[in-house]
Amino acid sequence: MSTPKRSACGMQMFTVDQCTACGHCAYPPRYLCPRCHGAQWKTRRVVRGILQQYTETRGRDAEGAPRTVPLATLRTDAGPLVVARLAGPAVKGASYTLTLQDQALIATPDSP
Amino acid sequence: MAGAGMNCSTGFDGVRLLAGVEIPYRRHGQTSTSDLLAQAFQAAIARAGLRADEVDGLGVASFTHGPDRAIDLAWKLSLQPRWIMDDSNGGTSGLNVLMHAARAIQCGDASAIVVVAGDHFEAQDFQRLVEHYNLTTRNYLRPLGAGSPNSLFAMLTSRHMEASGLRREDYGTLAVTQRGWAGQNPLAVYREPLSLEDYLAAPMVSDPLCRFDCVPVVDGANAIVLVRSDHPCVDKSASSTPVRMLAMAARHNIDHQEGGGLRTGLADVAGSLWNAVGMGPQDMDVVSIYDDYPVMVLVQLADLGFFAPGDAQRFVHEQIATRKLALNTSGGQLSAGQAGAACSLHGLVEAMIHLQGQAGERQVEHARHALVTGYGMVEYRYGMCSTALILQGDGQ
Repeated sequence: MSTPKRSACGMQMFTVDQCTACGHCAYPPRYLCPRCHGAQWKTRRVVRGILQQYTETRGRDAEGAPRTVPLATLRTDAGPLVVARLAGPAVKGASYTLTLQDQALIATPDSP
Repeated sequence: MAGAGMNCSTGFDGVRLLAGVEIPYRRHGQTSTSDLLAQAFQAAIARAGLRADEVDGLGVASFTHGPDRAIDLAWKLSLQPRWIMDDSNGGTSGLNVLMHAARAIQCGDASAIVVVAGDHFEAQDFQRLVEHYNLTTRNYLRPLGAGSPNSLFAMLTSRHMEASGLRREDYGTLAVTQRGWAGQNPLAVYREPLSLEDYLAAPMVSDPLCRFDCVPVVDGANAIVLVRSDHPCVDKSASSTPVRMLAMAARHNIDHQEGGGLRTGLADVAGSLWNAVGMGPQDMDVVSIYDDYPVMVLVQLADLGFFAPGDAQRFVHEQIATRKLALNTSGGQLSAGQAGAACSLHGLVEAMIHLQGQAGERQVEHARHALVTGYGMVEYRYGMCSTALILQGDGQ
């Protein structure tokens, strides 16, 4: 299982694990490949995902104040479906850039 | 013991379920998990007509029992078991233990086993549980501000709406129908009538899920007793007519969390399950489907063949809403409450009560066969574990 790489600007690139035996990409990481049970992985960078579904979850922050968290399921260009926090409007079928910020996967719209 | 292929466990001859009990679920209860489990144990053996010194097996399903384990509870209950087991695999944990317990009885490792399941949650306990449910949740979902499964099942429900054509009103009909059953269950936490208008006007939790799509967290416990069929208490337990386990099937992690979550392991085992008992969905008099969210009730019913793809809406309104299908007759977790791992036995206890003719106002007449499912353990996007059990009573 690999760890994310940090880009020059300080923002972490988003990566998934790719099985060296069959090429299947998996996220979150695991020990054995779900397709071929291979145990060797390499890191593959993921840049974009296409928004499949989204929701706004209502809750409270640590101080008890109401807050809304926009979340989405996206199909990445490497294959895996991921859950990310949206940094912009939700548009089904639209393309988003995926980055890691403070361990959170963030999806930023490619078109404003 | 006979097996019917790889997908289904049959041949539970020699095992009888005697008693199923529920310690009343409570909002903000003050009873510890250990106390709840002990109460469930004592209620179960009393119902079964069993003495504590006759119990030689103890299974425990719980999220919050720690740091205690089954043997610690056995010590507190002054038991000297030959067989013990813990399971914390959520919505299927109680049924997992049951499957092992039945085999233990058949193999002679024990003759009378009590399986208890329950949880007590302080406010911080529940938040801690959902945010640290497993390492994947802790490391990949919690940083998003999405520690609760509500957001994941909201998106799953959206996928289901796209695939099935269902509207919020259809899921609401299921919740409203279950609330109607809860009104006939003195142990249900939420019993006041719920209308579809109430449902549609309720605050959103995570759209499209509203408050009535999300199970209310409560404290509580359930327990069952299973014994060898020739155990003396089988005959003397007039208040607890024995129930047979006809077939059981479990299938977990069917798609490695890489699908849509609109199909569970039950789809893989349904055929062999029904074949094993020579029956089909139409033969079930009582049905307890694990209902962490309305959508998952419909997904599991579809997997088990209760309706064909594309027929969900008709089934909701013609079979569920009309009570032609006696579904989640306790009110389900949606109305009776979600008491953590207790709910892995909640549906089983409800089914047993009907098969034993003890369901009071909501009794399904001449109930002879029942289906119970368990579902749960969300890894990244939906639940991984599925179990189904078919029971037979004597039809009184």
